[in-house]
Amino acid sequence: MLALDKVGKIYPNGVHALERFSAEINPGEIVAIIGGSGCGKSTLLRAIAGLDRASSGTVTLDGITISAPHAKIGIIFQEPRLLPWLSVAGNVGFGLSELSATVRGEKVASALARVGLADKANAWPRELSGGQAQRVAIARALVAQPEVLLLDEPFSALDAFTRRDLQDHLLDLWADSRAHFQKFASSRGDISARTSESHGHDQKYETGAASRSEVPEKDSPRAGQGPQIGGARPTLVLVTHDVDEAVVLADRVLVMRPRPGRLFEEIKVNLTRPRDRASELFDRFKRHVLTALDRSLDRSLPDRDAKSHVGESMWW
Amino acid sequence: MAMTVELPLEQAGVAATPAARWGRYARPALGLLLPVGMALAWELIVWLGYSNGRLVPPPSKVFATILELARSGELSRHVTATLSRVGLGFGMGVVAGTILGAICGYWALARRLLDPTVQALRAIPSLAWVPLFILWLGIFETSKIVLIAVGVFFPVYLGVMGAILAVDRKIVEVGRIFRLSGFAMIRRILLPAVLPAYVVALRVGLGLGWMFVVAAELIGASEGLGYLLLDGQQLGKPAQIVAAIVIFAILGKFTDWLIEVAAAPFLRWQDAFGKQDGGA
Repeated sequence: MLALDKVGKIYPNGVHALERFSAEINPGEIVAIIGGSGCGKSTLLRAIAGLDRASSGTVTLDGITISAPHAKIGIIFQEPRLLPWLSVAGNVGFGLSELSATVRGEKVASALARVGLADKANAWPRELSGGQAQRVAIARALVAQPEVLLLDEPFSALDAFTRRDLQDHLLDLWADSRAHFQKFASSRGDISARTSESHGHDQKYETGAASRSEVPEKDSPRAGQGPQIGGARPTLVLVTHDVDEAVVLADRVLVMRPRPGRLFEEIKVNLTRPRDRASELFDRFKRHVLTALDRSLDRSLPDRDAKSHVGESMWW
Repeated sequence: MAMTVELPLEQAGVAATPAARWGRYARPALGLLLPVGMALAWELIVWLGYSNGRLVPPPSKVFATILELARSGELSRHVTATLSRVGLGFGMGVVAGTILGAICGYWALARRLLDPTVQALRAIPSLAWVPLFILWLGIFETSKIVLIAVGVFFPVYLGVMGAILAVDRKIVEVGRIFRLSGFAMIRRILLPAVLPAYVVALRVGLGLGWMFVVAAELIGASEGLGYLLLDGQQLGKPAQIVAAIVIFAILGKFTDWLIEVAAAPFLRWQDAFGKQDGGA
């Protein structure tokens, strides 16, 4: 479990970017962090990634304090950040240098196949379109099999069609986990068994799994096909300013408010997957997140204990 | 005349592919028109007797001089002397500039400590060192090579330091995410990122190296292309001076080309980008 405990960040120039942010994110969960500009979303993500150290509070993954980049935590940035001097395959395999060339080649090939760019293995990054480059970045992050994948506005630089395509694709990749996963995915009772089996952990996860069980899961048709990148489903923590994106992807949406950045409201999105962007329910969740965002920017409103479960009150 | 040729060519290059392909070869050839035309014109003027060509020798005479020098073995002796001076000086300057530039680029404390001094030294016209070098190191090879090295040092130092400082923080973060150690970060991120600028710095440095070898050989040498220049002046042999200049040009271009070719395999990712851009 990824635990954020009263994480705060004050930059050397005195900017108070983040204040006492706490959250617990369960394995395999998708959490979207949304908020106006300057609410510390990216700061928070960088602290989780270990790129910047928090000024106060701690980030722990399975009890290990994160203060530097960790092998189990991957990140996809807003820009693809491909190394221009490496081929596409070289970029995807960049983090696998300790593996033998053969193993690395196989992993890279399967990762590229999964993002649909098998034919681009030998291309240079500059030859790719924006969407393709971001796919390569996704492959590069996933090929390292992270337990937690952080996404910092990963699709915001793309056009609307490509963005939508990649959102769906990301969900496919996320859902595409080990076969034994799906056996348990449908029934509530087995979820705890599944998490403890796949992660070798106990009690802590059962609470997490229980909260997830509210969301009856329907895996995408692609699930289970093709070579596997990840074993267990990675936890996704997504920073975005796109309400649509948050509702499409996330199990939970954390709305932050700015100056200093802090948690304002937590919204559970109890929608089955794949989610229909055109459905009325989807719209209601979207409107709810939008309202929360509006309120988060209203300074007259006090901070509140951010545990509204509108999803539940709205639930059928 | 050039205008009337070039204008439709540009338009055709945009419009049709075969014309564009023709343009790719024709356009550089266009640049040869003026020098070759003038050389031929001068040759003709001297041949027809409108000028005696004593002070400005016609191309045929320059060519004959080069051949004569080559036949007598003089040419290879002078070229070898000059090349070895440039080679040694360039090597020393590159090594010093690279090491110091890398240290100052990578390590902020060293930069604050050393860079102001280096910049102050850079402000001194390098030829001002000549008397001092001759006093310190004698009039023979050492002072010449050190002078060339000084000329090469500064552009390489600046290029390396600037390139390291300009490495994109975002790319460095990719290395951090994959937990590269200090050495791996240098080898896998910094070095490739710096390479294009480094090659440019080397080429600028080499150009300065050729400049300074002439200065060094003019001051006092018994062999070398610079000596040929001086000898030509003192004995009133303009053809020999022009011959030496032509050989300088050829050698300078050739060594520059060597760097370009040696670097090309490592810059393929970038080279193609340049081609793409240049085509427009």
